[in-house]
Amino acid sequence: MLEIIDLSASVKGSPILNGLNLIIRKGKVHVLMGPNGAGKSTLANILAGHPAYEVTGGEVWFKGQNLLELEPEERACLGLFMSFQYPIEIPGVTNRQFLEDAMKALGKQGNIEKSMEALKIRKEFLDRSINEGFSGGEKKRNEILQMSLFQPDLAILDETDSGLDIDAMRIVAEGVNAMRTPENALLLITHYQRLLDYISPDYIHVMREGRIIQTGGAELAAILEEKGYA
Amino acid sequence: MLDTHWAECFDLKDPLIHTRKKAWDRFEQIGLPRSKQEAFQYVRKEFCYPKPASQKRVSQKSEEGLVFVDGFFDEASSTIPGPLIVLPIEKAMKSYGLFLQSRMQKVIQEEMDPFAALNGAFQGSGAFLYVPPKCKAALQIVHVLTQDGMASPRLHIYLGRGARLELEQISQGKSEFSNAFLDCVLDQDATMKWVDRSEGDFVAVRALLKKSSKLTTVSLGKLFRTSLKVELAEEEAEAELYGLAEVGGNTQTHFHALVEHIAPRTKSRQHFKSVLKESSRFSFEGKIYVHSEAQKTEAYQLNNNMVLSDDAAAHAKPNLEIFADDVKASHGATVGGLNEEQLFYLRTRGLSQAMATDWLIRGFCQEILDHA
Repeated sequence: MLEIIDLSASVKGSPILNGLNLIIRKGKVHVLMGPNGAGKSTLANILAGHPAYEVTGGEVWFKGQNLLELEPEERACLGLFMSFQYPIEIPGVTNRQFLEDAMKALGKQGNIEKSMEALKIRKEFLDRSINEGFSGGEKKRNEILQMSLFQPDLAILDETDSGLDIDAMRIVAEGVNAMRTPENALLLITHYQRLLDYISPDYIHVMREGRIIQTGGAELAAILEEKGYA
Repeated sequence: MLDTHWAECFDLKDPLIHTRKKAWDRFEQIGLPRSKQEAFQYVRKEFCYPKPASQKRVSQKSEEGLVFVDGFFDEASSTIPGPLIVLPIEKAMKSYGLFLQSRMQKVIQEEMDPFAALNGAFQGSGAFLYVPPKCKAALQIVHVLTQDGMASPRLHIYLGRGARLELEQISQGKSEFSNAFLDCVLDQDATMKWVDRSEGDFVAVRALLKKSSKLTTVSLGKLFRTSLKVELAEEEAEAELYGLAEVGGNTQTHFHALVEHIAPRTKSRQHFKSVLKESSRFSFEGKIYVHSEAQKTEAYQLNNNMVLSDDAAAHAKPNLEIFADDVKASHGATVGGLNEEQLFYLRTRGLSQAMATDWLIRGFCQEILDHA
């Protein structure tokens, strides 16, 4: 579904990704782990098309298309979704307007209220400005709500678990599991193994200094938890 | 050119001639804006001043409210619900002369703005609106402009104790030079909200607030310059001034606001925003003046500008002058473009760059629109 070949990138002149290779397969859950500063969030942002990052080499193919040539909105329409580590607040635009227009732009249909119920998001959030005055946990649940409504082929969750208490994490994990099909894929970026108690991974990739240094199955998480990234 | 207009309109039989004369004298003392003059530092100063418009009759039926045609109050077209009273100023001078005469004199004497003074000299026949105590009303002020001459509508308002008034100002048509003036006095516990959606050149609002009264002004029109002056004259009076300018092309929009805290425990809030495209210009000059008696004042002032073109410019000049020692006050200004992170967030959700931009502009404006 997604193939990253020898990807290098920098921000404001300093290199962050150094020849990264990664293949993400249909129907699978991939987990990306690694110490702070390894470049995990940079990778997520580059895949989503953030303009501040400069790709200095390599290729990224998504569903047969050269992803790096596409605008962020074209990537979204092609089926790519990123859940932000720090979801952005946008005053003056209500969540309802936003969700309805985004679904229209992406050509998706769905019942917003029903999806909100499943994620235990209160109804009044629809008439509030996007993420404004939401707690950290509420913002993350709002990201998962968007993911469940947009039904992406590939969802990248950038530290969606950080800042969540156990109950919120369970709700988020249920939301993630509910959208899994043999046709879509998931890339989870996380620091902690605890999310993996709720979402079982197929592959674990360890990232360090801008490249993947190790790939393994679910068992790798437990080893990392015990021994660290050293 | 203005001297000639003044000489032509000078008529001793005119019932308003004494007021006009005082206003003209005041205008001459102030003079037209000069370069480096603080209140007009960023404002274009050259205007052509057409002859004062002449009175015309049009048959215009409005919603409940007051109709002005080319600056002249049109009593026949206006619909005022009882027990409110609206009268042409010269008639009002008979019944409400005691109040009106001293108020008009004070407003003219204290005027610092040349265009507000000019309105006094060239005013069409103005109106006086009286809202009796505890009455409640929502009215429109409609300015109908049918000719190029200088339109100088003038309205004085008195709100009795506990009265509530909502006013929406709109305009129809165009004139070469429009220069409107609104004066309001709010008695104890009265509240007034004034929403301006008119188009034209100059608008001046002068207000005096007595104990526990509250004035809210929301400027949303397409005007060249709005000048607001509010005196919080008695305890616990409160004023909120809001303004929004969305400008493009070569258009300029300017706000000038002065809030005087004269009595203790008075409150004010000013929030003005602009969205500037192409080669537009915007300025906000706001002053909070806290007199030494006005202890426990709360005064806030904020100006946010979204500048979307390299050729556009916003000038922000917030001022505080505080002579009391127990005061909560703040002022601030921001100038910036679109927030790149917000734009990226919306685009990752499938919205095109143009749509996301439009949304961010709308979101930015909404905070002010919510007050109307």
